Amino acid sequence: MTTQSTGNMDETAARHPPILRLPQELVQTILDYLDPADLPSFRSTCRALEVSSFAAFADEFFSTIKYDFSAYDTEYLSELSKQTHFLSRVKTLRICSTRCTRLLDAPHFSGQKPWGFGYSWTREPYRSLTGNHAAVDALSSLLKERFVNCRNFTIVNDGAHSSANLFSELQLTGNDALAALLYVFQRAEIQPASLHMLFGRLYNDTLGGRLDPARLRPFLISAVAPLGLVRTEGLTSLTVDAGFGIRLVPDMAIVRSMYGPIKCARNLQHVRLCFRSQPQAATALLELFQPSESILPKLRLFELTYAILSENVLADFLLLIKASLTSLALQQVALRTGAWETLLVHIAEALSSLGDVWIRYLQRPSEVFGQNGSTTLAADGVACKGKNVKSRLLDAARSAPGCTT
Amino acid sequence: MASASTDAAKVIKVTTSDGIDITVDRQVAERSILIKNLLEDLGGESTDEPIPIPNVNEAVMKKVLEWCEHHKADPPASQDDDSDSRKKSTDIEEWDQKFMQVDQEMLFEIILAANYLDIKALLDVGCKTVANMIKGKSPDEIRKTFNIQNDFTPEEEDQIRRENEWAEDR
Repeated sequence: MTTQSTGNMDETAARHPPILRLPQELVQTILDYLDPADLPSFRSTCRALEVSSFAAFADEFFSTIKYDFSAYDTEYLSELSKQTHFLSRVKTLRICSTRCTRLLDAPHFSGQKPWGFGYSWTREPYRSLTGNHAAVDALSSLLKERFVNCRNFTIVNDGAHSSANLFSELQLTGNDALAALLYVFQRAEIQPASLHMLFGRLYNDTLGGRLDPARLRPFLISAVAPLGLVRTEGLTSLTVDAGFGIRLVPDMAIVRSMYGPIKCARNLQHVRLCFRSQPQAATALLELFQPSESILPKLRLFELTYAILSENVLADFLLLIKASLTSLALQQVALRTGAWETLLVHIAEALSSLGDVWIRYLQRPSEVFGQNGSTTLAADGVACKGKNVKSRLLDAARSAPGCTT
Repeated sequence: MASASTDAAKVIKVTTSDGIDITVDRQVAERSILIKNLLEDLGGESTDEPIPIPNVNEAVMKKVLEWCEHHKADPPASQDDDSDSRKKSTDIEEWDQKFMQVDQEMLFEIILAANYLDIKALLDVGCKTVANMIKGKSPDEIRKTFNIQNDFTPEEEDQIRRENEWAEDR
């Protein structure tokens, strides 16, 4: 009986390979264990597996598109927009200043046509974005009419460099890119759903010594200034990661640029602020919220990294967002005045809806940056999820440092 | 008498799709969340009624129970393991690797059974085994490995190749 049944199974297997009998969700589980580089081969095997792996393939390779306003990238987007099955998959446009620099050579494809578009490269430097209306017009209409799900934008403005010519001829064309993107938002009447802005992160201490601050400062100021122009009514997620390069920008310049966007951002659910080099800017920024009680009514997640503030500024801010906040992360945060002991009790008592807490605190502002600006990871803190958040916070408060004045 | 009834509660019977009754330790069978929940729904009543498992035949069920027996004392998996789905490791412990050295028919039957019986750890081992059979291979090698017929038209193949090239550039 058993032998008979196995024999039938073999015949069936020959006609219908067992892998094709898996339901979609199990194929997906297998795909989760593959490297992204294996997805193209997998989908090339047969129709059934192409269909069942399409979502994984499209999400892996096409959900985020890098774009630098070059003719090359504009052509790519335009060709992609003709592939209707990919249109809805494109969710995020990532604009990276290191790709936008006018000093870098375009990538060289020796005789080979990229992507089979028939688009051939000549080895010439990128043009300046200033006045590049063709790219701006093209992006506006593509975002408005074709890529209607692409409403998330990441801007990496780390400055221009090439390995051969490190910072010697500094041009932050990333600023041009940001300005161009803001123009696209206006022109195509786009309200971004999420904005992730990463600035000046390449200027760490190793590289910083080689830079001339007098030349660098104006570029960095114009890197943050346009933020004030972003329309944020539709924004649900905002990240500002101001890297070490921002150390050269007056902190109020950053804060002023954030004022407009934050005042209008009534739909924000996630806010992540990181002030690697200007932790004191955090105070000024949080103080912007103080006059209004109804600000950020939907905020669920708040993360603050590298900040020096007074206990009362942070406590008051948390009170304003306590009704909706479920997730709080404070990392590398030091109190200028006040004590963690009382702040943790305040958080435990006042923020009853918190379900997820991650706090790593520093005892003194001077610890945020040690000698030569390097950082050390704070060891003290509390991390917890679920129902026992309140009791864990109260436990942590007992072992936290008292008033340090 | 009391001890006899305690013993009885420690063993249960399942009936496979081909009508075979298998007796198994309750602790072993409860690696299957489906069976565990069924037993809990029955409450404390000790039941001699076999539990029907209509989707799994005897050969596969015995193989699955062999895995459950070996892993009966494993701690329960934590729920937060798989938050980063694209970074999953495909390492498989030695015993499980040997356990999975079966013909493909059986391998995929085990995966389907683990899914039906809700045994997540076994499902993961099965899927990892298949993933390891795919990794680093060309489309042709994958077809050979799984006995798949290439049913694309030349035009479709062209389109797929073009899309793959775009993906490589991004």
